[in-house]
Amino acid sequence: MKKYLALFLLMSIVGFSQTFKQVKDTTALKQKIESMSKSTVTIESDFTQEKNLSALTEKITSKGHFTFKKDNLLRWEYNTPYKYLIVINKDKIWIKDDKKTSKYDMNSNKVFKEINDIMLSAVQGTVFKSNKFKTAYFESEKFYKLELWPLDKNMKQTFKKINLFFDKSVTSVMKMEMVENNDDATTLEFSNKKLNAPVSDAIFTAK
Amino acid sequence: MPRFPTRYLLLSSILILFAGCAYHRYAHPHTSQPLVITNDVISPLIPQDGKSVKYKASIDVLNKHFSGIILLKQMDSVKHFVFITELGMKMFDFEMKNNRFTPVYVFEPLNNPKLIGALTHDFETLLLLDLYGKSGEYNTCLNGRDFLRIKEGDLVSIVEREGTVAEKRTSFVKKRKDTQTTYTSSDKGPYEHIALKQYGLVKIYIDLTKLNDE
Repeated sequence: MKKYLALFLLMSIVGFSQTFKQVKDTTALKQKIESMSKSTVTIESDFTQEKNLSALTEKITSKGHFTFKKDNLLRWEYNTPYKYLIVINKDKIWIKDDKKTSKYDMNSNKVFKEINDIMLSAVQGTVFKSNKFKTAYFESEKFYKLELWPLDKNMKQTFKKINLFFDKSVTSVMKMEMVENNDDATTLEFSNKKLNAPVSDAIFTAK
Repeated sequence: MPRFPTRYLLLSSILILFAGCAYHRYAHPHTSQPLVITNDVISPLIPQDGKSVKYKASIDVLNKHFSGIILLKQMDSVKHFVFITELGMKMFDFEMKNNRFTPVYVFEPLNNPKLIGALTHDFETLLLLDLYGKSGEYNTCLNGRDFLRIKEGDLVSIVEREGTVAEKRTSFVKKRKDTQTTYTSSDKGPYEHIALKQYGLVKIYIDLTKLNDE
């Protein structure tokens, strides 16, 4: 079992580490992404988050379930290494851990607002429209990759770039990679994805 | 004199009396023997074999609540201490080199000297890093547990152990309780749960639960 798992992981790494070349027709790609964004109403998916600490050669892996519903509803449910829930419902955020549930106003917390904006626009694929980034477009045999280089002064202090990977049919974001200035990186890989399945509004709250 | 200040004074006196009592509990040991604090005297929290250890962390400071994962690792002679939120954002990264605890990275909204000073002090205390290499005393008691007493200037630290594993550390500044840390071990290993309470004006609570690799 472990051998198969290792092989699967290796294939995943090889899959995403293909040679990328610049996209010639960026207008067509932008149209595909916009069309994907318009047609995506809900997304349900499992996710694996990996934090790579380059200087310490360490990885911190978390796994969970992710739900998105247009326009501004997000639910991140972490199951490992421990249970943790983040719910974003328009301008409200709930964070629930094993001890308590906290509710915040998005506008009162700049950091949350910034993270939420990136996450939402990345999930919806509209991030390339943002004036906070300079975007470069690449493709391999299997993927499109958008490299987003921050222009905003505050964001530049934390991120070197954000990479977004789409499948070649541009149906959804496959992977998101946030590279920090010291080359630490956080990657989010989505799997077992369900697009436009019915999702109740009731799950976008936490008590 | 208005009623409120009288009550306040009375309450303060009682608190000072209790704080004083806490210190005097350790003031008259039965026997006392000098020693130097080494890894053989107090088992370190950071593994010495280059492996890392991770804790689920909850920090309450200056009316703010933070949670995430703390990673501790020693590489060569440098001890690293990194705090990451559940979303993967690095909040701070401290390192300890030549007995100096310095911030390598601090997430800008947290970059407040008072906050960073308080956190570095408390994590140094919690991880017992300020004690190694210092001279202390091994004290025995007739009624109560044996303890280690380490004095440096106005700071006195009392460490109670089970074998060489710390179970409780109480620090006093000018005989007033400054911090109290409790360490809980289990059949999985030492230091499975750690809780620190900082007394005084800047109140801090730190709660760490070890994340065991599955």
